[in-house]
Amino acid sequence: MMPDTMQQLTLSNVSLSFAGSPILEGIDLQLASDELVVVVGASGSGKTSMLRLAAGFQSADSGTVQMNGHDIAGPGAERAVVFQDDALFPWLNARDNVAFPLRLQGGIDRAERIRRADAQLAAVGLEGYGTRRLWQLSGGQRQRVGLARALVVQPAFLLMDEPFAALDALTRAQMQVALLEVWSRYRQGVLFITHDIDEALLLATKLVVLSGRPARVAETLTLDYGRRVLAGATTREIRADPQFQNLREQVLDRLFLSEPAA
Amino acid sequence: MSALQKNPLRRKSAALVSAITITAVLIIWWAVTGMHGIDPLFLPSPGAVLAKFAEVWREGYVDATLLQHLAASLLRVFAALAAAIILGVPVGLAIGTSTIGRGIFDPLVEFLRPIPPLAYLPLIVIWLGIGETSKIVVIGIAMFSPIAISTAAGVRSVAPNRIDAARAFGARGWQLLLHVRLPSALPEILTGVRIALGAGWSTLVAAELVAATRGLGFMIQSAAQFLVTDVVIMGILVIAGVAFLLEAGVRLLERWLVPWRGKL
Repeated sequence: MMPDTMQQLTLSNVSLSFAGSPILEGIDLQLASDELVVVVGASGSGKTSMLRLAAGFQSADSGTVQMNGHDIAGPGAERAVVFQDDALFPWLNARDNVAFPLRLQGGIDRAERIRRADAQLAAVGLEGYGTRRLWQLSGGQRQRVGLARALVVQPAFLLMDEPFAALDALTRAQMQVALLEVWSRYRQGVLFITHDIDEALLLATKLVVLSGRPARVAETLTLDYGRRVLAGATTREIRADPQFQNLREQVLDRLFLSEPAA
Repeated sequence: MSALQKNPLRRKSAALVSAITITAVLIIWWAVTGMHGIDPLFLPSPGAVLAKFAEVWREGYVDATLLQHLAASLLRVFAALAAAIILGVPVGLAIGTSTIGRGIFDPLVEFLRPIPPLAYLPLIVIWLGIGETSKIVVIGIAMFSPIAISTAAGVRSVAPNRIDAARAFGARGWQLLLHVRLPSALPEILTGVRIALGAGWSTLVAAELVAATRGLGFMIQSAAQFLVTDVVIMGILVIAGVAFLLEAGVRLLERWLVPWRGKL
C-alpha cells in the first residue's frame, strides 16, 4: 500500500502568534511521503502548533502551509492525526473506533467497514481485539487503536502529537518499534512531535530542532537509527552507541541555545 | 472515585450504619406512639400505618387502589419526563454549542429554574384547564431546567481532542453533534435525567392539587382533608420509596448506557 505518487507537505516561512505573543517565527519544513520527520522542542516551544497548522486546525499569521502545492484550508482525511491522549470514543468498541472515519466517508457498507477495521487492528498488533471496550485495553493498546484509526483511511500523511508521552517507558519503546514497522510498511509521510530527544533521534529520518521564543528551526539533521531498528538492532544497543550519545548532547545544546541562563 | 466507594468493607459498614439509623427511627416512632397522651390523629403507630398500607393496597382509598394511584402518578411523571427530554436536550445542545442559542435559551432556563411549582400552577390551570395536560406540564417544567442545564454542561466539556479527531476525519456540523458531542455528553445528560426525576417526583403533590381523581399526591390531600393521618404518612412513605427506586433505576440505566463512566 505505497502512496501512488510522491506527496509533499510544506510549511514555508510560517509565523504564528497566540494572544499577542509570537510562538513560531519563519518556520520552514518539508515533509515528503516515506519520510519520518520528527520535530523536537522543549515544552511550550510551539511544536504542537506546528502540527495543528499542518493538520489545518488553525491557520498561520503569515507564510504558507501547503500540500502538493495547494494551500491547506482546513482539516482533511488525507492528513490523519494521532493525539497524545488517544482521543478515542469510549461509546464505541475498538473496531468501531477504527471504522469511524470510514463511516464518515460514507458509501462503504458495514461488512466492508468491519473487514477493513479488523485488518487495520491486526496490522498494529491487535488481532482479535475488535470487540474490546476501551477500558479493557491498556494505554499502549489504546494508542495502537488510535494509530489504526488514523491509518484505516490510508492517509497521505500521519501527524502525531506526542503520541507516546503518556505511556510507561517499556510500552513506549514497544510503540516506537511498532510505529517504525507501520511506517516502513505503508511509507506514509509521518510528522512526529516529541520533547523526548532519545525518541526523536531513534525515529527520525529527518530531525528538526525547535529552539527559542518565538521558536525557530535551530537545526535539521538527517538520521537513520530507525532503519537500524528495523534491521534488527535493539533500541538499547543504539542508545549505547557513542555517536548516538554525542548527537543527543548536540541536540540538547541546540535546544537550549537561546534560553537565558537559569 | 472516593475511598468510600472503592473499599467494599467500608461500603458495607456504611450500609450497616444506615440500616441501624432506620431501625432506630422506627423504634423511636414506635415507642413514642406507644406512650399515653399521643393522639393517633397526630402520629399513628408504625403498625397502624402498615395495616393501612395493606388495606389501601387491597381495598383502595377514595375510589382507587394504591396501585391505581401509583400508576396514575407514575404515568404523569414519565409523560412529563419524555416531554422534558424531547425539549430539554435540544435546548441544552443549543446553549452548549452556539452563542446565539445560549443568548436565547439561557435566560429562559435560568428564569424557570428557581420558581416553585406552586407559584406557576394557577397560571397553568388558567391556560390549560384542569385536565391531565396541566398536571403533566407542571411536572415537566420542574424537569426541563435540570435536563437542559446538564446537557449544556455536557456538550461544553467535550474533550477538544475528540472534536479535533473527528474534524480531522472530515466530520462537520451535524456529524460532530451526532457522533461526538451528543454521545460525549450522555453521562451528564443522564445525571440531568436523574436530578429531573427527583425534581418532578417532588412536584407530584402540587400537580395533583387541582381536580385530580387519582394519584399519590391526590390521595394524600384527600386523606389530609379528613384527618386520616395514617393514609397521609403511608402516602409519604410510598412517595419516598418510589423515589428511591426511580433513583436506583436511573443508576442502573447509567451503568448500561455509559459503562465507560469513571473508567476512562
